[in-house]
Amino acid sequence: MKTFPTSIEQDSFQVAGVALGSRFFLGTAGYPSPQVLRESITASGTQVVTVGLKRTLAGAGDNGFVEIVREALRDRGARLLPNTAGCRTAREAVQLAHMARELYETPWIKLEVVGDEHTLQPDPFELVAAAAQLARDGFVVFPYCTDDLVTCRRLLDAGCPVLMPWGAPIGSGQGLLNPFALRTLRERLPDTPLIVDAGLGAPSHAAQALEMGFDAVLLNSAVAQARDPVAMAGAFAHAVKAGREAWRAGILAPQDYAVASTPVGGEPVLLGGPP
Amino acid sequence: MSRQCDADANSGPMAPAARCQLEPAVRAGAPAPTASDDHAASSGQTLELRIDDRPHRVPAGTSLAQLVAGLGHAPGDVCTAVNGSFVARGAREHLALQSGDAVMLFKAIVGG
Repeated sequence: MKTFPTSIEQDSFQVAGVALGSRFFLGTAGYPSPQVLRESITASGTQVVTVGLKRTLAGAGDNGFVEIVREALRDRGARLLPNTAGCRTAREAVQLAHMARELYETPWIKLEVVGDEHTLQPDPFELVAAAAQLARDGFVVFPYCTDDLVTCRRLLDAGCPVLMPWGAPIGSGQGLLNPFALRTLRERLPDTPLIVDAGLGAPSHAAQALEMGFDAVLLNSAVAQARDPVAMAGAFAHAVKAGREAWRAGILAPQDYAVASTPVGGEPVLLGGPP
Repeated sequence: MSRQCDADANSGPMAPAARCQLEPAVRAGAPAPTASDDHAASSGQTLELRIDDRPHRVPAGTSLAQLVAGLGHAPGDVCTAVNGSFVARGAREHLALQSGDAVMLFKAIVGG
């Protein structure tokens, strides 16, 4: 049985030897302004933010967003988690990962190798191949994967210290589409840090993931595209904390039939009835 | 890898817009030059490159480091790949570009 530290404050999340106080990883894309991004990062309490790389093309600027992210690192001690978004082959992903390590000066990499343009789900074969190569090259690989148990095992065998299975397709906001598969991952991989990544839409989805025993969540669109991203970031922070506290507290197991909560003792209660 | 010649693979961040990426990366990946191209490219004066899929000319003997500087980028602001392979910052000054080279520059962006 899993044991927990005495207090929630000591309940940090360890990945590759790094202790993180927040179980909320936040993406940085799609915010309406750099200021909103900054305030959302603050409201989320996150200690890990994701970033990416893209071709420069002549004259293309980022309107100040990247500098905001770098400031977040300095002000909050947050860590960067660069991604290999857009890659479709292991080779592409490996090349981009090396660039990310040079540019962002971190060996952490969120490995994405897309297999389908509509679902943006990972290609499991290219993903495992890329993970193995990057692990050999000294990267700390955070693979964005599906909820397939066997693929997850192959990723661990390849050297990934953590897994990031999807809840639903990226940006779809559908929440945890396959709770059975996610519960299976948690049960079959009890000692592996598991982060639900992608598809979350509401804070309740994040709470659900943490209640299932997942170690953290990573989300972007649900905050960035909210009417009020800053408030939504705060809401997700509360939900992540609530889910984790519930998991620690021990959630009542669902049962098929009623179990009376008031201890009436099984005797009928009749007011004014026959002796 | 055969998937590198799929149509989908051509739209990834590393793939050239109009052709399959070769494995391993080759120095001269461009289509065979015409006679007039041969004259310009082999005259020793200029190199015909593609930078982020756009044609670009540089003087013969230009290094990748010089190219990056000439495009106005600080060395630490971009990452570089030549013919689909990452070239580390420290190696750019030692890489002499050749006609037909496809150079890609990458920069930091926000991401999910």
